[in-house]
Amino acid sequence: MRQCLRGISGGLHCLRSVHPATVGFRGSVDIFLGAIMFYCLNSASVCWRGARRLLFMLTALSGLFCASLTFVAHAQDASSVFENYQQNLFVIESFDRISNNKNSVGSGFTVGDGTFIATNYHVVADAVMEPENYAVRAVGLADQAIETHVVAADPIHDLAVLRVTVSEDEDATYPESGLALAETKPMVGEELVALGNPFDVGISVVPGTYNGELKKHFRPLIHFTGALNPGMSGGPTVNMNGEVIGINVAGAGNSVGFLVPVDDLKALLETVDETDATPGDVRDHFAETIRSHNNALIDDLLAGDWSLETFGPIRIPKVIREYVNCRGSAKTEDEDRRWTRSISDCRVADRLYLRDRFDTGPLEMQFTLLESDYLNATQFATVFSGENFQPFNRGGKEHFTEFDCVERWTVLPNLGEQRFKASYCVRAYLDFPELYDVLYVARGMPDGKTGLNVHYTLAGVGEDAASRFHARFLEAPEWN
Amino acid sequence: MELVVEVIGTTNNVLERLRFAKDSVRIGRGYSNDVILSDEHADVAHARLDIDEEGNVWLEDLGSVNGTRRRKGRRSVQREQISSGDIFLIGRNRLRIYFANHELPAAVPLRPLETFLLWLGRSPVIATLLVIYTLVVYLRAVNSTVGDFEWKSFLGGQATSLLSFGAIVVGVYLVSVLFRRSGNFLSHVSVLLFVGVLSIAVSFVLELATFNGGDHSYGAISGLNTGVGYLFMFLYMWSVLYLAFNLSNRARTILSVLVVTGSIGLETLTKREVASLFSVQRFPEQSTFLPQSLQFASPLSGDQYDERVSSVFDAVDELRTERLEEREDKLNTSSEQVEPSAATETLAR
Repeated sequence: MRQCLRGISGGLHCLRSVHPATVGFRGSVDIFLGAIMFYCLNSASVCWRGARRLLFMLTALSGLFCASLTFVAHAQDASSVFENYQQNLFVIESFDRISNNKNSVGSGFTVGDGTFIATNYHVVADAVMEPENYAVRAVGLADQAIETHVVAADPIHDLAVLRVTVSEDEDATYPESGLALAETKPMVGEELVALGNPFDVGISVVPGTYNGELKKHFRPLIHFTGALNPGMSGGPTVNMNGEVIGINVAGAGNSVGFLVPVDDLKALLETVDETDATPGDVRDHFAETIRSHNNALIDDLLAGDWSLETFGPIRIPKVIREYVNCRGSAKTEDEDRRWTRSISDCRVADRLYLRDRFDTGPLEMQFTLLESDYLNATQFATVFSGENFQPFNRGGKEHFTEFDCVERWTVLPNLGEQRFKASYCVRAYLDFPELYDVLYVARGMPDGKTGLNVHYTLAGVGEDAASRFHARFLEAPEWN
Repeated sequence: MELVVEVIGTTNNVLERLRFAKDSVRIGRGYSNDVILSDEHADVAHARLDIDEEGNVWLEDLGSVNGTRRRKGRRSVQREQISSGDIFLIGRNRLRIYFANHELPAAVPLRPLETFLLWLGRSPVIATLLVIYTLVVYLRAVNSTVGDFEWKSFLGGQATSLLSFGAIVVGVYLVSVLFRRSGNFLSHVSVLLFVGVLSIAVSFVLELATFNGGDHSYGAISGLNTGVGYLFMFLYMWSVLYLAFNLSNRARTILSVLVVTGSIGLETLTKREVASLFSVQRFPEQSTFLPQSLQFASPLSGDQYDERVSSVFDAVDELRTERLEEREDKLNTSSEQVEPSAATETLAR
C-alpha cells in the first residue's frame, strides 16, 4: 500500500514541480481518488483485481461519455482512437523483486516493432538505478503481466524505453507494431487524446487541446489542455490519426497538462542498439547526460540578457532568458514593523527527477535585502543572522556528500570596497561522478541598517560550468 | 616538660588539640581522663602517657579491649617509648603526640595564586563579581533581543546556567561542611563567579575571531575554544582542592589534571564527530553575524577567493570516495549477515 502510493506520489512530485500555485485544487482530487486506492489495496488482492477491472470498465465508459459530452464534434474520433490503439497501451508497474509488490505505477505504449515500450523515466527510476532490487512489468488489456527490461533511459526528458522480455508463455500476445510517431507538429488548437492509467484505475481516454510549447521552460515541453493525473505518466497523447505527439509527463490541475515532445523519444530510440544493452554504467551515463545538459543551459544563460534592474541600493540581473522565472516580494514587514525584507528570487523551473525524493535541477539566484531604522546594531545583526540558505533540490544523506565550504571575507567586483562574508559550498553526488551542487552566499552590511545577501544555487553541474557561472554572476550586481 | 596531644579524625582533620604541663596524661572514655575520647571502641581507662626522670616519654596500654596501635602496626603497644610526632590508633580515633620542643618548619609564604584566591573570597569582591556577571548577561540579552525585553523569557533562557550555578554552590557548601573548612565557602562562590565572568569574556573574544576570520582559522579557533574550556575547568578544580582539602600543591595539580583528562576522554568518546569538525566546514545556514563595528577582517580580493574555491571540488571528491567506501563496507557486512541466516534456515528444513 505504502509503496504503491509512493509511486503515485512520484507522479505528484512532477505535478508540483511545474506549477505550485494549484496544489490546493489538485490536492482534493488526490484525496478522493486516494481513498478509492486505499480501500482496494487494503482489502485484498482479489478486490484489487476485480475492482481494477470494474474501474477500468467504468472509467473507460465514463471517459467515452465525457468525451462524447465535451467534444461532440469529435466523439467518433476519440472513441475510435481508443478502440484502434488500446492493444498498444500498458500499465507499467515497477515492483521490488523480493516481495513482488509494486512501488510505482504509470503508463506506457508500444513503439517500433511492437516489442519496445515507451514510458517516463520517473515511472521506472527504481528499476533503472537498482536493477538488482527492482524490475518492471507491463500489464496489458487482458490483465496479463509481461516481463520487460529497461533498454534506455533519459532523465533529462524523463523518458525510458523498455523491451518485452520474450517469454515461453504461448498465451502471451503482443501487438504486431507500435504506435506511429508523428512527423509534424500539430497546430495550436488541434484536438488530441491523452491515454493512460490515472491513479491506477485503468487505461483511460482524456481528450484535450494542443497549446504549443512552454516558453518558460528550458527544455521543450508541450502544453496540453486536458486533465493529466498521476498514473498517466508515460502514456501517449495522440492526434486523431493515432500518431504520438507527446508523452504525458505532468499535470498541474485545472486541465493544464504537460507532454514531452515526441522528438525526444525518437532521439532516445536511436540510442537503443540491437543488443538491448543499456549504455555502459547507467550512473556514469546519467552523470554525463545531466552535466552536459546543464552545461548547455549555463552557456545559454551566460549568453543571455544580463541587463540590470534596481533592487534597493543595488542593481541586479533578473530575467536573463525567457525561461528564467522571477518572483519577488518588496518590503514585507515583520509583525511589529521593526524591519523590512525584500527578495528577488529567480529560478529555472526545469527540475530533473532522479529517484523518489531525490532530484536535481539547474539553478536559483536570490538577492535579499533587510532594512531597519528601528533596531540597534546588535539587534539588526541578530535578525540578519537568522537568514538561512538551503539547497533547493531534494535528496538525502544517501544521495550526497556533506557540503564542504570555503568561507572568507571578500569583495565583489562591482560593489567596490564593501566587505562580504562569502561562503562557497559544494557537495558531490554519491552515485554520479563529477556532478556537484554548488551553493554560494555573500553576506554584507553596507551600514548598520541594511543587510544584503547575494546568493545562488546550482544543482547537478560540473566544475567548469560552475566556475563560469560564478564569475559572471559575481560581476553582475552594481551599486545603484 | 609539656606535651601536646592532637585528636585526628578520619580525614586527617584535627578534632581537638590539648596541651599538658604534667608528667602523666590519662587517655580514655571515662570523665576522669585528661583526654576524653567519645568513641565506643575506647576503654574507660584506655592508655597513659608518662615522662620519666630522664625526660623520655612512654605510652602504656592499660589492658584495653581493642588495644593501642601504632599507625603501621597490628600489634598492640604494651609500654613503649615514643618520639615527637608519633601517631597512635585508639578505637576509631587517631592521636598525635608532640613534645613541646618539637621543631616546626618556617611559615610557607602564600603563592600569588593562593593570595588571589583568598582575595577573591572577600565579600566586596564577591559582590562586585556578582554585579559584573549579572550586568554582562543582562545587557547582552537586552541589547540583542529584538522587540520587548521580557524577564520571563530572559530567566527561562538562563535557567540552565542558573541551575548549574546553584548546584555547584550547594555542592561546595556540603563539601565545606564535611571538611570543616566552612570559612572558605564564600571563596568557592567567588571563584565560581570569577571563572564565569572570565569565560564570558573569552567566549566573546573567540566569537569575534570566528566572525572576522575565514574558514582556515575555524579549526584553530575551535581548538582554542575547547582548550580554554578545559583550562577553566582545571583552574576551578585546583581552586576547590585548595580551598576545601588539606592537600599538597603537587597532589592538587595531579588530581586536577586527572579530572580534566578524564573529561576530555569522555568528551572524545561521546562525540566521535569532533574530529570531523576540523575538516568539514559548517554550512553558512548557521553562521552568526555581528554588528558592523565589530568587523575587523581585511577581505581577500575576488581572485584570491576564487583560488580557494577550486580546492573545494577536490576536497568534496575525496569525501565522496570515503562515503562510497563506507557504503560498500556496509553492503558487504549486511550481505555477510544474510548468508549465514539463510544457511541455518536450509539446515532447519
